[in-house]
Amino acid sequence: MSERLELFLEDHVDDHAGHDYAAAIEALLAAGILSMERAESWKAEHARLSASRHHFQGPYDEELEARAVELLEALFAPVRPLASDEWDPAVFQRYQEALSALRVIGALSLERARPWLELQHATLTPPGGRPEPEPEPEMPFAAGELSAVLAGPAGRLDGMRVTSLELYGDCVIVRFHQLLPPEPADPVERRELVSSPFELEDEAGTPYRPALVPEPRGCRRREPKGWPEALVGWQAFVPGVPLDARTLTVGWRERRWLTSIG
Amino acid sequence: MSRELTDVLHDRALMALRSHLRAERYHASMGHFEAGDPVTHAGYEGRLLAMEWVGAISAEEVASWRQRLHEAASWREPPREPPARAVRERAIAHLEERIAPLSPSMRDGFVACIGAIVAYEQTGVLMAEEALAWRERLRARIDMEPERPPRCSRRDLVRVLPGPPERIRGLRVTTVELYADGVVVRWHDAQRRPDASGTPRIWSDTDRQTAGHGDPYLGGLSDDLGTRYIGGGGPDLGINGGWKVRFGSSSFTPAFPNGARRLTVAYEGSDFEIEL
Repeated sequence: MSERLELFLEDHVDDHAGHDYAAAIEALLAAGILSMERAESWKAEHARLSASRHHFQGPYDEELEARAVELLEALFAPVRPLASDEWDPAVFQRYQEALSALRVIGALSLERARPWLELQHATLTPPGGRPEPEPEPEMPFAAGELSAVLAGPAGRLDGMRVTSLELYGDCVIVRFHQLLPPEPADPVERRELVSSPFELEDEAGTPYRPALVPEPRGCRRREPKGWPEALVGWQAFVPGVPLDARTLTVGWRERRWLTSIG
Repeated sequence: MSRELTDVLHDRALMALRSHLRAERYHASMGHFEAGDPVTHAGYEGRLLAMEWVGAISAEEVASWRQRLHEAASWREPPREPPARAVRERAIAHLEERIAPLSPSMRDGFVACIGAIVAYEQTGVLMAEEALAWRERLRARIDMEPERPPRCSRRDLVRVLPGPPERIRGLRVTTVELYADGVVVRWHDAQRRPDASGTPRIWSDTDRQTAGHGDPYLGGLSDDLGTRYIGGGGPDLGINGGWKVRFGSSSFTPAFPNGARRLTVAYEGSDFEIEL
């Protein structure tokens, strides 16, 4: 316990975790694992550090800043650009951490540090500049205008229940709730159970197609982690349902669910 | 350099070094870096050199911290030794004494109680699950929602109710799913929010990155029998770059009780009413 106690006392003395340090010290005293003398010593340290925290934005001492800059000049002199053959990560790291420490302890203002930060940035910039970020992937639908929400049929087939259909101007979202059987040993059967796509059709013959979202958090059906008892998810189709359609049929494997549009 | 400035620099240097030490121990315990990595060591040297150079720490302190940082790079969590019985009894008595005066109208000692529980947990007097049980007891004492609320398993689906057609400030409740152990409210948010200049815009990549902090919060769930629902498990968003809307769900426990006829979803000062 003694190592844990020492770690706790030192780790929390600067309030980094936002706990009540005085109450913690009192509790350790009450349990009899901390002496009164050491409790007083740590409380004094805590009080002193708390006072220092309030001066984080300066004031800055000119003479001290000049001295800090002198050190940065010396440490930056051997730094070479990342793109060059002479790049040495240790040399760069020593300079970068020194600059960071000078800022953190309040020996260097942001104004005096700025040119050094710019130099640091330039050192890490590849020749020809940084590449433009990839454009946002184009979405196959907007799902902005919600015209109706249809409750799915109450029946469950092969563990699958269609819970609702959301009809948007440019897509249909089929929501489902699937109760899974015990995990099959056969990986093909396993994949079929959790990854079989839905199909959608109406009596007007609209050519619905699954709309995969080019992003991991979207509606792409992914295999679950582990083997849950129930899977809840959704799948989108484009285009939206035409105004004259009266029924929608959702298909999944060999099963079909018919839903009337109000 | 004034004595006062030297003291302040010293204290800030110690705070920074302690922070580095915590980070090094964390990385070591997670196996992120190999002990003895020359680039990491060059970083230590840069920090220590800068602190010594401006007079924040002495040469003796540099040597001591260099040693500590190097040791931290191969740190492993110490084994947990069970506390002596007397220590444990005194600790529990202290917590009982601290918690006794608290009530929903007397919450002043809450933070101090948490401080005591954290101290006992991190020094090994309490196991993690015991500490959690104390925190939950403390929260219940002042009528605060639990830290680990029971979650709706979303397993046994009993019924699906369509939401009402209206929107409140862009949000529409699309469906409410009643499960054996909870309620899931699904929503569609088509609200256009102004950016800093007040110009309406569509949802952007930034919205997606900050979605965890900007979810449309449902104010709460209630029913005509007065069930006290607790939100558990935040909205799982289906947003995406380029979309003008977001949709997702919010789950609550306990289950919708037999005999209840109406659910009310609060949102931004207004209510959605869902009748069975």
